Amino acid sequence: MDSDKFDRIVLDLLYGELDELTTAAAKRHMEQSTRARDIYAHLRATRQLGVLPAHVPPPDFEAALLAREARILAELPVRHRLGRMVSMLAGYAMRPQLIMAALLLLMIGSSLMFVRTRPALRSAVQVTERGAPEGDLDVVLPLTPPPSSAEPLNPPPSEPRAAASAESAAAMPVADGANTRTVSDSAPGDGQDAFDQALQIYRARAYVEAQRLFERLSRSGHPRAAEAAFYAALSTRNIKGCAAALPAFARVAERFPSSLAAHDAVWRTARCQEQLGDSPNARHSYESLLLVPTHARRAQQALASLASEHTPEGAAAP
Amino acid sequence: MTPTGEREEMSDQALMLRYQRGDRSAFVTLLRRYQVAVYNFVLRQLGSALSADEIAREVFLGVVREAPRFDYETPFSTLLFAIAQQLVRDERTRTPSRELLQQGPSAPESSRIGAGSGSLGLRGEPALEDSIVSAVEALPDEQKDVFLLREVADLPFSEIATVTRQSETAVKIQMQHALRRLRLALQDFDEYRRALR
Repeated sequence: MDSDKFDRIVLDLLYGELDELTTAAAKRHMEQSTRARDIYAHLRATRQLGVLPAHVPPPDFEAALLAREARILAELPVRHRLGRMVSMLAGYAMRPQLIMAALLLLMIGSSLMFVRTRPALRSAVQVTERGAPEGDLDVVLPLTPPPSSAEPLNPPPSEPRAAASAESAAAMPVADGANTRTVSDSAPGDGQDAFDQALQIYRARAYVEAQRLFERLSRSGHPRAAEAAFYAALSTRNIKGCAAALPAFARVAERFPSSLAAHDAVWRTARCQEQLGDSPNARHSYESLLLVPTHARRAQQALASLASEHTPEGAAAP
Repeated sequence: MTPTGEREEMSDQALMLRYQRGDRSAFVTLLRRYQVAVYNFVLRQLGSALSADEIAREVFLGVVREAPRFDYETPFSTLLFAIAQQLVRDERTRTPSRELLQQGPSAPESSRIGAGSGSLGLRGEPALEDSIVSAVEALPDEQKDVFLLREVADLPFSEIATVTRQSETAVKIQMQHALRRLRLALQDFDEYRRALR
């Protein structure tokens, strides 16, 4: 340390505002420099003696001051007083105990929310009495009437028989709406079990396996072959999408003409065509359902919706 | 409520935060912590006990008014003595020093800290004490400001620079000048020579 630097820091040294390293350097400099030692000694002596006598404020100083302080607070504008109140409340809100309590309440609240939402999720796949998943609410599939006692439990595979079965089901009263279908009172047989098993697999959204089982059932001449073919097509749609499902729906309509499964297949075809942007063919498909009692109303609504979507905005109503 | 002992250990900033939130006892703690320093700072600046009493109160009332806008990055002592410094300057402008001296005694002897304990001032000799007081009173205002902020208010040089609105280097130069003048007033006393050893 040189003399210039010492002169610059000597006051900091006197008042203890230097860091340890610089203090040590300054002290080393003073050991070597008489001038530095002399400057510091005079400053220290001056400071040591130059202490002014201290006086205490008058006795009423504090009381008078606090009285005036209270008056000032009382005269604060409402905005400032509100600010103080908010600040005070915020101060309490920031206390750790309150934060922990709030977190605990939040955790309990969110847990209750999860507990409440579970049944709703479960019911979402149980809305149709036929057991079709919620996404397939608009599927109109009547239950196949039970085979007559004279009929064998496992009839030989024949498409006309399956179609006739589906047709007879179509003749049963079917209420308009997704979940008010005819109720099967058939006794479960082996074929019925196989269909139900496939349906359960379908409901579990294992569509690949469901498709394989439904395809097999539809080809085996099962009494519910038409439905099985339709579900196989639906599975295809769920696996590969609408474009891949269109030929499958078309095959259902061809194999089981005039059956409810065929009408549902046409309905699904129309929905897929609409989804794919093929409005002319969708319209054509909907129109083909206008004469089918079970589908006419929905087809009309779909056509109206399709027409409104393609009507230019602002066009004058006829 | 915070116990009194705990409050007394709180930092100035924490107390101001509590005061902002409506805890008036925090202000009382701050007042008790600083009232002697503020009173003596104003007293030595103005030389009149009456003015010092009034101005020192105004300093704390200035804190009350400034509390909603208090910036927590600024030390409380800087705010407090900046207000004090401004009020002293205003008072100096309003009342010439001669009139101030006529307003009353410097301060009653009974109010001096240590009075009645057998001690005559901090260094024991009335002549020396008078000489110190006279030397400080005779300092130019700029040097007196810096000297009192350092010795009475016990502010570091950086805070003094903020309060007096000048650079830290300028503050130290003023302080060196003040100490040199004080040394001239003290160097003939035996106590000074003894302190040099």
